[in-house]
Amino acid sequence: MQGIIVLTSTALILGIIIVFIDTKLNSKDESVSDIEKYLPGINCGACGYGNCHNMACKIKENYNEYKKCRVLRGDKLEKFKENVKEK
Amino acid sequence: MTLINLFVTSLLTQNIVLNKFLGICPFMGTSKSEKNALHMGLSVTFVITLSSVITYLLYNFVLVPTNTEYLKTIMFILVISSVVQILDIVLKKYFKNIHKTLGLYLPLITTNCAVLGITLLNITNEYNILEVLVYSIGSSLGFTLVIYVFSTIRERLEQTNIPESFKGTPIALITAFIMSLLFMRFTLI
Repeated sequence: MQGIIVLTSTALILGIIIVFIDTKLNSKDESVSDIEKYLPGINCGACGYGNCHNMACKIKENYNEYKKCRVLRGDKLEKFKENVKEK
Repeated sequence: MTLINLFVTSLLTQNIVLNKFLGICPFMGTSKSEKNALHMGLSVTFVITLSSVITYLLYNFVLVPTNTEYLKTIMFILVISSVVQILDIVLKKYFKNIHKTLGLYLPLITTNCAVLGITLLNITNEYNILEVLVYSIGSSLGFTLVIYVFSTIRERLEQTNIPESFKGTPIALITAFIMSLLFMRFTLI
């Protein structure tokens, strides 16, 4: 019985520490949320990545990915190109 | 004085790879280029040092008082895998290149027997906290030293004319054997 309690509580504490570090390091990724702001934000999934957040991550890696967005047209496209520049 | 003695012993005479034969998998796998070997060695150093201290404290302040010493192996594996996970997150965030070049070998540090071996040896040899720190840093630096030297030899070997049947892993194993013989010599001093 003691063994079960010790092992479970240690595993729980370690898990909490890992989740804490992970969220703390990854929430600071501002460039992705900056790109996401200029995407349509309707999460249609037509680009093939499921939602706009994943699409923003892909655009960060490869700028030309934005062409896959079917909804980004006209004014919104102009605005996107103005604000999100290729690195 | 005994601490310096312990450090030199763990670094050279009782080298973790060449005398105790632990951690052979990353020793063979990541020693193809000098840079990879150094990154791997330093990652392993970080994991070994941190997990030895954590497991030592956990063993003496949690497992011994609650009479659950028999759980030490599974508990240590738990701690090691958590430390490797933390290292993975940190490298992914700050050192993307290292994360990319190490690739699959980074999560495989979890199953590196050198890490579990050192944490268990700390307990069986009944070291105190200072000795644990010195011993784990010494042996992990020994691992780094050996893997780095081995990788430089392997880079040189790639440019030489080796018989067809010895190319690749066979010649690497023979090199490791000769290195092991040389390191065994230290024990006689």
